[in-house]
Amino acid sequence: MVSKAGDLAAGSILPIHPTCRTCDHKKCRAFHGNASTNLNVLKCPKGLNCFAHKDDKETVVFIGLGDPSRVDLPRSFSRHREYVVAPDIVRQWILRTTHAIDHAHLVMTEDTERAIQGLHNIQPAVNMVLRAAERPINMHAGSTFEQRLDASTQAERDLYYAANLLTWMIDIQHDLVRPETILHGERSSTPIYEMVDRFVRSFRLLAGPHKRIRLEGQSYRRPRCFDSVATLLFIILHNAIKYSIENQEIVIRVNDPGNYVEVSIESYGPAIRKEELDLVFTAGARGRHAREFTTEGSGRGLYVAHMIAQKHGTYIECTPPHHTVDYDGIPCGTNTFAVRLY
Amino acid sequence: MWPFKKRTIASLPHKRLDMAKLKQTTSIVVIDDDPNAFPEVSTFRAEGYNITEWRKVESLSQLESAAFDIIVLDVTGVAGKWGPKDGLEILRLLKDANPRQYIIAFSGQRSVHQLEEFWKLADAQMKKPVTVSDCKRKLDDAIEELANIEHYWVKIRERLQSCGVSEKKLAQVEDQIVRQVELGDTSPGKIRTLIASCVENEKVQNLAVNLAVKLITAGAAAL
Repeated sequence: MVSKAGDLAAGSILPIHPTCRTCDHKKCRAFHGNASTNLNVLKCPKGLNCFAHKDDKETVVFIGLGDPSRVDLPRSFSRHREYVVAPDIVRQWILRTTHAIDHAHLVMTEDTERAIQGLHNIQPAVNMVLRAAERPINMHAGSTFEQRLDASTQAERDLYYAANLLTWMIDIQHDLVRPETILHGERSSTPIYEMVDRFVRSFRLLAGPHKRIRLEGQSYRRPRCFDSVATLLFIILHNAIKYSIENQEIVIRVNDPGNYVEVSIESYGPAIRKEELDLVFTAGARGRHAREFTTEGSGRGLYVAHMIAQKHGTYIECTPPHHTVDYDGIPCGTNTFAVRLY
Repeated sequence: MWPFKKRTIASLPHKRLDMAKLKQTTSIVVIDDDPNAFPEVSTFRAEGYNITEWRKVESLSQLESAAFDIIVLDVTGVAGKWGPKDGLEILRLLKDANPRQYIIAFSGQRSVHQLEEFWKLADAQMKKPVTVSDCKRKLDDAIEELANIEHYWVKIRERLQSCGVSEKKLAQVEDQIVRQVELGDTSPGKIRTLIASCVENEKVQNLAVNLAVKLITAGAAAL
């Protein structure tokens, strides 16, 4: 059994091994040998040994090293009736495990670096697509870019919004690969309604003709938010589209009833269960019905969105459906996600 | 009754912002080696922005002497043959020469650990790829911030609040700033002492004092 616990190394509080059955009834004879007197070897109250391995940052504690017959030990050891493990072998185990942990960490770091490099490599191409999409709009008459955008054809507008969507997707990928980047920047007054409106225009292209997106309400309030608020709203909107069934409407409401702007998103899809309300904001976790609905999704989106909301001193309110109807055996209903920005 | 009236930054007389005029008077330079990274400058010029585009740093002395009010700076491929080797060094140099220079960090390498300083040193951040609307919003924010003294106070307040400074202390700092604006006293001595009594963190202290001096200078000029 391996556990990571910094303060366990002191030896004062040692957890009890759950499978230590022999110690419950009689005095464990396992550690009367030399092993228990060695450096880094401590005993738990049940008589199990405990080995602490320290490095610069963390302490790995091995508790209750088990049956020597199951591991690669010299023959002489397997003849012992007691579970005595020589310290040098324990050290080998520790070293092997530490190397394995280091290797796993290295692979994870390399993967992240590779993903970042990949995102960086495609960026010039994305820049080109964006500029190419803006050029035909700039040829129209109008004193501002927005006026020229209104004057452009539907095809030109579609191209522009598709290019915008691509840009935001790249943004989100950066935040998902390395969520700590959401901590960059400072607050600035943010036109939330305008932002949501632009997202909706782009998402209508993504959702296709079978998923209708309706934007309701109006707000001219510009709360002071970090740049990452765009990621938060994008993730919730994207999730609503991804986890909604066809021919059902997705309703987005932006209102400012008080000294805040409230954005709420209603979509009809796989029902979030009441017991999953906190779970869906955990890294790598997905709702049970959402997993059945689609295999896509890493379970990181809402986690990152939750982090951003926390950074803004607010939270994402998730309301599960009151009643559900089965679609292909999956209970579906209206899920609502809402966030207040002050 | 004691005729005490609370003095606030908002109560200070200041000129109403004319955004169109501000756009013309605020000079902006975009320094980026990739011609597609920033939207076409002609789009911005048509809307009244006073904007220049450099592929790399053409004149470091011009930047150091605050010839531009806002600098949009990329991190790679912008340095000349001599002097600083990348955007980060240029940023450090400019902030050393003129801490009040408004610089927008503009890069796509937001997840690179080595560049964290680049993002933190800058006054604002703009991530690549960027759309016209986002660009305009960032530039407008920067222009407004440079012109509006209340923006400075909001920034100071946020910084101090994040360090747990009480409302009472904040009111004292605000009162001191207003007093200095009215007297036209731009020396940082008194305000530094007051801020140092509220916050231990030296970085936050320096930033708050810098912002306060900016505010006092802009406020005194507007009176």
